[in-house]
Amino acid sequence: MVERRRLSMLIPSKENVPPSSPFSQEAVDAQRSLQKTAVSEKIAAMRDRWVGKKARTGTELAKSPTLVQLQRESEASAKKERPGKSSVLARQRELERLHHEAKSRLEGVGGVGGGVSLWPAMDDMRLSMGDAVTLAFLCLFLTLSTAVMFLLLHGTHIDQFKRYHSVLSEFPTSHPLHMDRGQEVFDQDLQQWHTAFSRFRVCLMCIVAVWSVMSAGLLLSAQKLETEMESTVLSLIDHLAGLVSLDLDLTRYRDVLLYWETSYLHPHSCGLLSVLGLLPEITENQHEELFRSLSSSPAGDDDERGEGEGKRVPLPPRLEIPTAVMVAGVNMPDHDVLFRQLRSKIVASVTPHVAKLQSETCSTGMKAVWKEILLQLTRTAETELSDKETDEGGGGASRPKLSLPSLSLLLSWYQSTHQDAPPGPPVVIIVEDFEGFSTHILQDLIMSISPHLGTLPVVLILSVATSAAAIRSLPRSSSSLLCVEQFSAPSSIGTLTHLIQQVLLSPGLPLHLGHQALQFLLHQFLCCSLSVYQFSRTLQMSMLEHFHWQPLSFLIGKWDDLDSVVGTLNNNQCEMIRATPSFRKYVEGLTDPAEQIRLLTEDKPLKEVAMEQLQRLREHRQTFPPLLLSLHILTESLPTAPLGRKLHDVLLMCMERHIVEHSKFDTAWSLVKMMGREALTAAVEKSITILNTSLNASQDSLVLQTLQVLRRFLAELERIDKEAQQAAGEREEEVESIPREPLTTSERKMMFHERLRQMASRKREPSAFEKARTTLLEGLLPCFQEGLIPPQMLPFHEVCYFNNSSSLRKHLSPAPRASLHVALTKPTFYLPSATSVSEHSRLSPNMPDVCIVYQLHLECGRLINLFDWLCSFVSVVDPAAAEKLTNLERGKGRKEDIDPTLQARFIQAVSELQLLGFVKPTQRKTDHVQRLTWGAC
Amino acid sequence: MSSTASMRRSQRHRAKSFKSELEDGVQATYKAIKLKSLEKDGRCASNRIYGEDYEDDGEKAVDEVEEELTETDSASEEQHPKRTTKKSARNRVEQVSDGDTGDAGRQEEEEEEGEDGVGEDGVHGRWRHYHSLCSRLPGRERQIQLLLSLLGEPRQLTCPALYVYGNTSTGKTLVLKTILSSLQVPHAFVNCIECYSPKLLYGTILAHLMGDTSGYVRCDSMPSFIRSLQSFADERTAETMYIVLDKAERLREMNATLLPSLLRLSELTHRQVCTILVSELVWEKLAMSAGGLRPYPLHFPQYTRGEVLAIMSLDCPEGEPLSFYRTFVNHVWNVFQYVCRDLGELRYLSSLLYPKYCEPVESGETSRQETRKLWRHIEPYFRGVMSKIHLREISSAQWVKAQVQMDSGETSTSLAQGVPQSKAVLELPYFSKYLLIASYLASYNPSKTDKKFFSKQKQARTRKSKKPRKEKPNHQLLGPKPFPLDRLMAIFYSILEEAVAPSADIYSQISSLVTLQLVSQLHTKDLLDGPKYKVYTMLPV
Repeated sequence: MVERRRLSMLIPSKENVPPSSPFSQEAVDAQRSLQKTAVSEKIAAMRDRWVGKKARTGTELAKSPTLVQLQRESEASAKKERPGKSSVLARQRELERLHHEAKSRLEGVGGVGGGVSLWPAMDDMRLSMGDAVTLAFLCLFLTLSTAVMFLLLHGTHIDQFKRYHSVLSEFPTSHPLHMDRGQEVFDQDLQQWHTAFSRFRVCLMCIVAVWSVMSAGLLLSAQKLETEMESTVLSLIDHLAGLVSLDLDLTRYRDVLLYWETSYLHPHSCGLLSVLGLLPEITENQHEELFRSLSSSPAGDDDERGEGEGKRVPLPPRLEIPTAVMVAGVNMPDHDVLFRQLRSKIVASVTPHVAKLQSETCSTGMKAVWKEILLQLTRTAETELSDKETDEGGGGASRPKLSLPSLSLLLSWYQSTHQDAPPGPPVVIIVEDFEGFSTHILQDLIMSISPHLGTLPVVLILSVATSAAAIRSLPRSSSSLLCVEQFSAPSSIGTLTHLIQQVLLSPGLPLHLGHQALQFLLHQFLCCSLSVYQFSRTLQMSMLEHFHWQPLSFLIGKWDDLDSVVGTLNNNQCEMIRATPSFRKYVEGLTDPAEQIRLLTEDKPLKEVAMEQLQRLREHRQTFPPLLLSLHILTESLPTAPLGRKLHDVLLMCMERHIVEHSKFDTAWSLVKMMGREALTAAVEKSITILNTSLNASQDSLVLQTLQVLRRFLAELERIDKEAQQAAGEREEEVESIPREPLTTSERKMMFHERLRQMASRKREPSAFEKARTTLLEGLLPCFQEGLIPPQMLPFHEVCYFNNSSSLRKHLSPAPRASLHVALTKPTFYLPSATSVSEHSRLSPNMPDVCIVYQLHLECGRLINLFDWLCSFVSVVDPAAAEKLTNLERGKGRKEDIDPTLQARFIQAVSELQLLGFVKPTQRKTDHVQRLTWGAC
Repeated sequence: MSSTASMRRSQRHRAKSFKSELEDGVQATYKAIKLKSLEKDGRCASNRIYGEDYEDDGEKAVDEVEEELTETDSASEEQHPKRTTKKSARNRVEQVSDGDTGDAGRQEEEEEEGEDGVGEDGVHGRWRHYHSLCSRLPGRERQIQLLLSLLGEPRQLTCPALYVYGNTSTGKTLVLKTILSSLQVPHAFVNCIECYSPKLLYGTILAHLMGDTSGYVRCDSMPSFIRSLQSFADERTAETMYIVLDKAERLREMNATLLPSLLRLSELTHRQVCTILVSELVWEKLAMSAGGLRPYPLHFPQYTRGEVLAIMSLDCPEGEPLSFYRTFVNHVWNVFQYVCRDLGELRYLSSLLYPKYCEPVESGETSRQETRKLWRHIEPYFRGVMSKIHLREISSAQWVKAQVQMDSGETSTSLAQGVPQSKAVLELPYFSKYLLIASYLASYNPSKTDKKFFSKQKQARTRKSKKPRKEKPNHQLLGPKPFPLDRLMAIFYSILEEAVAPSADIYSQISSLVTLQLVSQLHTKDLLDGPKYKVYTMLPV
């Protein structure tokens, strides 16, 4: 994957490259990275301050998250500290120190209004000296006034406290105990002392209680204030939605917003992008079946094994490790989610002991495997036992130390955790990517576990990406120890259909995909990844893009009170509506020129039309999915499946253009016209259920109409059946009434011919079923015609249909080599340098060196002579110097004539090209490099 | 046949010796004194005196013997020794012979005419265990005999190193485990697969010897290991310690000096240590470096037919007549002997098939004697299993389920139909499929032919030369050849009908094919060299 590696050092993206990049790409990169780190560190520092504010009450110093993490790591490593680890610890301490230094230096840099500018104009918004002084005075004044107020409010209390204090200090003297005057006096004194002191105590307690309640109230209100501040920042974000529709320059607003967001909102708080909360849920539903069967299997196996042990076979019982082989499919990115869900399910329902092995962590050997298993198991046990431990106090002593992880350690751990109940819950080991593991590691794992099954019940879950036959790669000695049961994840096509039905066609999704975006999405899924994760990514991306670029997107999600929203549109927004292409098309389609002018000039009629059309769009959105599904049901089982066998085929066709005008629809319709009775009734019944469910969601006329057509058809069929029964009865009678006379062969032939002739002459009457079918199809066609209009034909479809596939492609399906090529041939595409690089000339001396060298190398063959290359480079960069070179070639000049700076620049450019992977040095010929890439992009 | 004869002989002699001992009251009291002295040694007394093993459990046996002794004491006082002791002896004989067909009467008749020579060594040393061991481990009499003589008495000098080898499932581990546990000597039984490093090996051996429950005692190097062995041996009054290393071939992978030093442990510690290596390899393959001590080799040969049958009939489920099960096992052996003689696999098969075999008997269609009918019933199942032997495609539970389903269906009778078809269809993304095809083509076609096959424009045909053409080898038979990435991409683009931008998606699919092990990447030293690949998939024949 050299190409992908190249991607990582891809040319800087278009935005915010400083204009001062005269020399090389590297310098630009370095500068950018410096700036980036500075900004990110600044942000971190800001966050520190925020954290510090939050932790005002505590005495703890504010720590940046990275620092906290670092410390946590060092603590974690200190837990498993060994003598050999001291050097690592020292290094960590050193790192920590460096971090502190950097932080303090950064805080030193911070000016009056706060550090490095986040955006160019931040300097202008920063406090000036005078402002700062006034602010300081204000702060001082506020502090003083608060103190005065405090004294005013609570001064009496403080005085009272002082008085109480003095009284209490004199209390023993004022209430003396006379020990020398006899028992009676002593008792009396004691009594007196007690009553006085108790009275005193009650008063004091009362004051203290009131005081603490009041201060709690104070804290509460302070906390409220803080949350209010957060919500104010959030409301700033909300304002953005409204502001988008106004004709204002929002860049500064966004910058301010960014500043407050970074400084006031918690970095992990839910952002705006948790829109697709419904996706993970769906995948979970999808996998539920699999999970159920999987998680039931270990339990079942467990029972069985228990029985086997109970029987006591004379020879040592043959124990097989219960193993679930899970064919999880080749969509690797999804596996992570899948196994996380599986793990939580198992933990919830079967056993707390689950270890998940991945080939990356376990490739080194058995030590790594045992370490991984033990770490995970003890961790889960700890979280589970944490409650108990707090009760018992010293329960953590049984934790095994991981000096030398091994099976015996695991065994002793298991026995210590389950002393009371000998069978215990099984230990589930999930092998996440079977193909990635080397066979001998798995073999060792299996062979070492199997003798101890009696004491340590282990259940293996092997996840196979390709097919269950991959298990054969294990040698027989270990595979015979497994008791294999197979499970397979649902097929990818099934998943896709499910996703389309549940996500893309669900009325709950506010944003929909237009034809091109949908095509891209399906292409990604079917051709490249088969991954649900990718699918959701694409959806998220399109949502982001849509809300970012489409000004009318604020209308989404306000279907319920469309009246008020459309009614309050201001002039700017109306102009925006007029600017949408679909509305223009609509206006051009109008026949009345006066109406056109009115719509384009006045706001009120525009609002009315907009209202009407948006309503129509919404209705279309309601009717489209059920009608699409019923069309799919009707046509999926046709002989050649002109509309495709899968739901996504039909969906794409319908989105592309009007399905009724499609040539394939005609063939499909003619085939439907010949459908048999059973198939047709089954399809009709199926689509009736679908339409019924959607009818519950919305009362829609078109769906209702379709439903009526379908129901009428069924009723018609019933009527036909009844009539046919009656007719059959009658016909039997008729048949009986025909007199049967013996006929000769010639007569029979004659009659036969006669009948044939009659039948040929008479046009065949269509049967009752055929009539019903024709009426059904005639009824259905207008429904489809009206309901399955592709959305891009509707006005205002831009509001809720996202159709920009090129931006999706740019973000989700990058082409590293192509972008490299573009960057190197057209540097102005990425670098906004104002220097006069003329668009027409392919090579100009103002280009970065690496671009010139790259373009020159495109003309060469497999081996490139460095000197020739240098010559042509010089001739481009400095035509005057090229003169000398021609002399040199003729043998007159000397090599030293070439400017050394030029040589240096050339060599640097060549080495950059080598770094990018275009050339490499070769041994075949001196002074030559080898070209590595071929073909145009 | 020899095994049953020997068993009978052993029982006879045991009964006889037992009886003779108990009849002599004076001798009995003497023995009791001796027994108590031995108990102080911490040894199992019962085994010493009677040469019996009633139970594996040592303590239980001690309790029982104590009971016996008090009984005999009181009996001798009451002057009724003979009747009671004889009764108990009879009981004992019955208990012992219970494992066989169970006619104790014949035993009693024969016990009078026991040979005298055998009776003598039965009383002394470890040989007392010999017969019980032989009855429990049929077919390994010679090996047990050899092992017992090599292991020797607790304080005798023993062989420093033993090497036990033989094929899988020839009972190596089982025999050693049983002997050592019934002898009750200090021993460590370590599986070398579990102990992947020498440290772990030392620690586990020590933990086993000392009876540590945690399973690991910290021990970092060979010298400290030797020291702790010495101290342990001194505590235990210098008995021989036995260290068994199962799967000893793994020791080769660890450290070159580990194996030789383990073999010379007794020499290094100056104590009685016997190292026993268990492996499937012959010694010459295991000992890679010369100069080590050559342990005494002990071969475990394959079981013969009779031995296999005897062992398999031990699996006979409770309540089933043994002869009936024997016929079944005989069938299994006769059918599968040409394919598989692995005892483990055969036992697995018989446990799988026996319920099927019994089915007609349980439903009452046939009686147990109608072997021919039963055979006719079971034959198709045997045939079905034969094709799937060793594969373990499905679990036994699934097999049973499949059988039930199959029986409920009307027509299908063969086993293969009952097995659920494993999902052979591999779902790949569209481009991955084409990439796989392209890599297959690149791997099996010589690159010379690429131009002929994949170029779009037609070539002018060159005239064929008259030279006799060389016989070309079949490229399918030569195996896959490596190919560079560029060639793969070129073929991919020429076989793909639509034009696709070479985005990162496609390259990532190549790497995912590599992780799926459909294509393998050959490692090159230079990263800038184009990576080379090889295809792993084969065309279905």
